[in-house]
Amino acid sequence: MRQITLSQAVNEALAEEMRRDETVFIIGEDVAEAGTPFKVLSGLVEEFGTERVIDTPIAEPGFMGMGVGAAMTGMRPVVDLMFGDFIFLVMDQLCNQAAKTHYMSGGKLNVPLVLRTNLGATRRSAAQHSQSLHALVAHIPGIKVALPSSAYEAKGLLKTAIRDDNPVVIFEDKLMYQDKAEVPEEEYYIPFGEANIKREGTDITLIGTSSMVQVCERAAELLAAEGISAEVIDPRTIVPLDEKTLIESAKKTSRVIVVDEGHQSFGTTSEIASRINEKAFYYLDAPALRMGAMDVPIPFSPALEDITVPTAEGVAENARKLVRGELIHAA
Amino acid sequence: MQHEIIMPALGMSQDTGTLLAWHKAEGEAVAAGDILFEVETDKTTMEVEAPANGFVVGISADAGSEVPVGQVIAFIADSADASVKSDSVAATHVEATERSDSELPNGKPVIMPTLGMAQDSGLLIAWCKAAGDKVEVDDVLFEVETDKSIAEVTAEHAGYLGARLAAAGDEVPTGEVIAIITPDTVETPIDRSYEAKSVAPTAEPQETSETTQAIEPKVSAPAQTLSPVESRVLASPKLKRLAMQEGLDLELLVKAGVPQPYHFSDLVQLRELAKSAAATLGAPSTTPTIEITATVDANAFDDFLTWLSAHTGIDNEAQVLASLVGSCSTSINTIGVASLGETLVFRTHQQISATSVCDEMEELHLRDLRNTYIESAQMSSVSLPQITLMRQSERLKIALNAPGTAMHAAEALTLVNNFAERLADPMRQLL
Repeated sequence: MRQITLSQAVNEALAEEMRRDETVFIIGEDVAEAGTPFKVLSGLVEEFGTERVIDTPIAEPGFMGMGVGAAMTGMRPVVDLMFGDFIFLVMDQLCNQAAKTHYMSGGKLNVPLVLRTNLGATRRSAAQHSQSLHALVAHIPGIKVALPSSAYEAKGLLKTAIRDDNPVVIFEDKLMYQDKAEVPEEEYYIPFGEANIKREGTDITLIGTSSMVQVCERAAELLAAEGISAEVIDPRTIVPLDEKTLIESAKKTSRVIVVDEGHQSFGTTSEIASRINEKAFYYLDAPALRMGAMDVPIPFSPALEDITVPTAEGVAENARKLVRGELIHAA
Repeated sequence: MQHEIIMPALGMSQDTGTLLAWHKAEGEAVAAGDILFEVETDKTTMEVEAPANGFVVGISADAGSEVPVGQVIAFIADSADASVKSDSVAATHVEATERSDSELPNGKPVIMPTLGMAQDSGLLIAWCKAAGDKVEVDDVLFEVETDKSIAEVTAEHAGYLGARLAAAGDEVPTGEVIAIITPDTVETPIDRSYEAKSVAPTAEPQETSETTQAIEPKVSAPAQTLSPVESRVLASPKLKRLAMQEGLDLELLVKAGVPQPYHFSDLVQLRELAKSAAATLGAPSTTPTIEITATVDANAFDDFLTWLSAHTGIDNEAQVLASLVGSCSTSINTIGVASLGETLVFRTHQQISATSVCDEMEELHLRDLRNTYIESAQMSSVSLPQITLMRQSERLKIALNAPGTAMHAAEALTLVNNFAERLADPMRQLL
């Protein structure tokens, strides 16, 4: 099968959906001629024109509000937020308006809006351009949250998101834009709420999101060399969450580590680990463990930045402890 | 005091900047905050200010040239005719190398350049000059690869490549000296692969050894255990569930001195402990077992079965046995009868015809081995009363085996004796 980059996969998904449906349009900063700082959108303005690939001034609340309004009145906007960190600027439009409109209008209005943005540290982008803020959005009912872990997922999830009648936020890992993966030529969709078992195992389950799926897969390789069989699962969307697959795996292996690049406290790892502890309690041989980013602003110093996010070695080390029955946090 | 002026990193993913124009000329006086030059990246154009008062010297990049981020393009010195700083850089470097390696020739050091913002090391791809070669300024010395790009590194001084201190394929930390350009030709130029510096006596190694000392006890410390909370046994939910299902007591692990908390991996040992505990406890102590045997003549019962079948049509021998045993005890109402193969559970009744199959739990288990070659069988550690019925030549042997907790001795004796009586004279059952 052909291999394309995550950038190209996103670009293809947008182009295909825009060709199919005239109501789909892109709005954001530097989306037209510049094609975003990550060059994801290159070529789209040439095909679809500036009416459907709309460059805006640097005013996130403004263009996000326009997107929400357009979605309420029959369009399918794909709002481009240059950095995930800027989501703080669009919180009212996203969480107070888009997320609640369907409910508050008694089901009369839909907001079929996609907010495309990114997450991920270790790009030397410092504290205000390195955050992984998906947990903030996942906390608000009414918003779906997709975290593609490769080019294949990026395309399949984005196409599903554009066709969804609800607000969807997709966080792409900004370090993965140039990563290649096998992506079929023919059209496909990835349904929301279906986890992907990337690797089967029997001793421990490693649940990873976004680029942490790769981290978990590398950790599984390290563990396999030592005779520990790790199962790796990518939930693909955290809202909705494929609880069933995660809990079945937890019951099977009896040990779980949840790995995510958001800050560990009050985060995605906490939520998933908590559900497993609640629903697979009597099958667990060790507490389901969280591994998120350190609870610190992401440092600019490369040496410091690198130790704030989970690594394959760190995941493997904790996995060994759980399998050996060692205490991670002494009580 | 000299200040280095470097090509600044203005963009997030910027490797180089284009020097648009110098606002100061070589030797010109500057004040801190004066605009020195303009630089363009893919996003913006920016004016770069002087960081200090002084004189601009040693300008090494012309307007229009593209310069790697981080590269020194000029200096601000105390006087207009100050010697260019790269000499002083050279001096310190040479000094450093001379200290650690006295064999190295004197000359200008060539270092692994920093091409990216976050680059720690560079991969030396290939040398473009051989050791000992004559070198002119701007001659390409070697190619280097970072995670982002491949760049050619040119000579800043003319001379001879007196030493190559890294070989193609070596990964060298940025700033490390990888070659020395000597002013004169060198008879036996050094040509070797990169050796990581084994810096000896400075403060740094001490610090590292301290940190390793600080970390090591943590690593080598024995696996932490929890001290038990009073009488509570600490075990994982999974182990607790399995131990409960198998009727195993986690206290056995506590008594064996196995450190808590317990996990699934301790189940194997727990099973072993339970097994040996059961063996050493033996019959009489906590769980005594009752073993009673009796034999009767077989003919009467055989004849009875033939008669019963002929006169009532009842030919299910299991049903007959269940009725007989059931009528020997007031406390037992359901009996499982096993011949080789299947087990049927009967709800017993004094009347044979009213004894019927049910799907309740058996209260007593009867093994009918009359039609087998088995003459004797010892069934130990049973959980409910068992009767084994065997044929020994012309006689039937009844063996009762019951846990002491399941029935009293008197009850057991009565049961066996009554059953033997009924087998010896089955017609009594019909009365």
